[in-house]
Amino acid sequence: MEATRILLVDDDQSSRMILRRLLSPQGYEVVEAESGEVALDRFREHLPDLVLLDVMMPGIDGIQTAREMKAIAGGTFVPILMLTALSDEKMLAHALEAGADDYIAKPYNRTVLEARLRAALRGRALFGELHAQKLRLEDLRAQTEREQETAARLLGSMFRSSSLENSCVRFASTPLERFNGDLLLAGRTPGGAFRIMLGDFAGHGLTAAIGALPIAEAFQSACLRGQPVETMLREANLKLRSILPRDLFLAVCVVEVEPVKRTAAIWNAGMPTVFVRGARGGIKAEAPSRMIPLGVLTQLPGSEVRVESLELGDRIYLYSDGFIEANDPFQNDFTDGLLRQLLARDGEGSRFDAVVAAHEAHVDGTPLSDDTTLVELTYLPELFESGAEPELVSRNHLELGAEALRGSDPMGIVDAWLTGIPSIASQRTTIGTITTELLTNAVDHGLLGLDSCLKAGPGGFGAYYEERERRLQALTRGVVRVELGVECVGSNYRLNLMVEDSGRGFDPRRLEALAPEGQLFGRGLTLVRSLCRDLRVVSPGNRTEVVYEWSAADATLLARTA
Amino acid sequence: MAITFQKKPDGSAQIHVAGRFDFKSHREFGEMVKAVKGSKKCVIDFGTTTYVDSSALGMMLLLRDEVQDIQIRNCSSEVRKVLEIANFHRLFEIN
Repeated sequence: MEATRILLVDDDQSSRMILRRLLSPQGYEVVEAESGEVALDRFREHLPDLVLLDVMMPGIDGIQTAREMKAIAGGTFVPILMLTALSDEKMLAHALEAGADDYIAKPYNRTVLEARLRAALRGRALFGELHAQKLRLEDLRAQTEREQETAARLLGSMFRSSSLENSCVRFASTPLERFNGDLLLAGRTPGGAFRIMLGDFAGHGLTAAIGALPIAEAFQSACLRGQPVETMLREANLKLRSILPRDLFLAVCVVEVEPVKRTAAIWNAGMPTVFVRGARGGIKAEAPSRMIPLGVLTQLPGSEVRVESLELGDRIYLYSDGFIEANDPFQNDFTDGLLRQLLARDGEGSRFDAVVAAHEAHVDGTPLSDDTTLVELTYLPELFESGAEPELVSRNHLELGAEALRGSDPMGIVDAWLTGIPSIASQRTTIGTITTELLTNAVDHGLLGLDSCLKAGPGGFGAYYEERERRLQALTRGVVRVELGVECVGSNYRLNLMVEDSGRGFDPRRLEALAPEGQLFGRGLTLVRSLCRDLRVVSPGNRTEVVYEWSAADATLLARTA
Repeated sequence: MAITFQKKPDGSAQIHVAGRFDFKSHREFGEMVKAVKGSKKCVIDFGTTTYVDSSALGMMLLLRDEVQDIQIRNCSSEVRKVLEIANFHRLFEIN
């Protein structure tokens, strides 16, 4: 061990001699200085462990010297002991104020001197330890912050995955400066399904980030490979179960929209109830949690909620529990009841802005205790545009005048054409149903002006079709135009069908309104609407356009088995 | 479109719909309904049906007024879809 180095400052040589004789035999290394100026130089040069400093010196006095030494020492602690006669009390007080740590009174007493030096050196050692600990803590904090930033950046880049930048997805979330425990991801499968996942870790910061990485990766790889959501969740559950500490788990909700099938499936494992708002208002479906959060059990019991017959403009709302548990200034929760009420409101369009505004008004600046996320997914054509250019498969155009309508069956003509397109084969039944409905409407209501109410009552069907036949044979003017196009868009086929008649137009909504459950008629357009991706009746009601899509995989599957 | 039916000795009726089942079938279907009226049970076989339209659904409701127990067999997945959209799986037994 190195000897303790003492800087001894006194303008009186004999005084320095006395002290050197006292100190050297104790094993101290003594560096002498005869003035304040020299002492400062020596201080810089030798970095002593302790300074003995005479108060009264010509030039820079002891007090000034002490002050400058403290400045030079900076963060390290070098005890300064003033050498003074007991009569200099005022001077002593000054010196202590200037930074001196203790004093030794002249004349020197060996025992007292030794005791004071030891005490001062103990203080220095203690200070050194504290200082080292402080540095270690600062390092740790810096490291944690760096890791937090890394986690936020890593997850942030996933958070901003391009699939979220979609006009059909809107979300609001507490700021992402740090990773906040809520995880939002979106992706598209090769089959054209759109998936969105909202996860909420029991935990925040880095611990949550650790679990988020594997689940984010599992989600994205499942999307790329088209792996079923169920399988992805089971695998992710096992992985989280094996890596997460027992008290940490992931509540998660995955929504998969299959545009072609017009269905949504919602897997809810420990998240608050997902609401599906109908295009014209009202709550169309709810998906409460039916599964246990991931990372709790090795099994993942429970099942998804399926929503059939999605309509354009239907909206799915996902949110974290922090969103509904956010307090107002009086500690009242926002509640899912209030959210449901806001979402159920009648009328078309998004409720996202209204909900966010209501939430802000509720919270009113109260600090949030949990992360809050709200997501809105709208079922719109943009959701299933994969960006691929449509490629024409086949197009046909048909016009039938009164004579042709009297003598032939338009559906037979269309049927013959449909049969000639192999990619339609798997969907012929559905397309046949759609086409028949539109043609029947065009002829019966558009040209012949028949009223479906005729079908009611005993013998109604017979009466209706007799009247139909009578009017049809009397028809001398009128045209029905049909346009059918089949195109291939990415991994899907799409049928665009337009049926137009030369009639005055009729209000299909009136027909639909006539059809209570169990009624014999009036469900034609409702049926078509349910089967198709899109149905549009062009004013004044003599032209109907529909879009029907199906997966190319279905088509090839059928071709292979045929 | 061709609707054929067979009356079985046990009082049930077997109905077979081939090809398109749409408004053009109404006469044939109506005659069939008259003939099977009073049967204990009807089995409709959709095995060779290419498609059904909404008036076909209406006709099935007419049959239901005459025969309580109606079973639907051999539906293709597409025909089944149309029946389900109309909620007919609640009114008929679909196998």
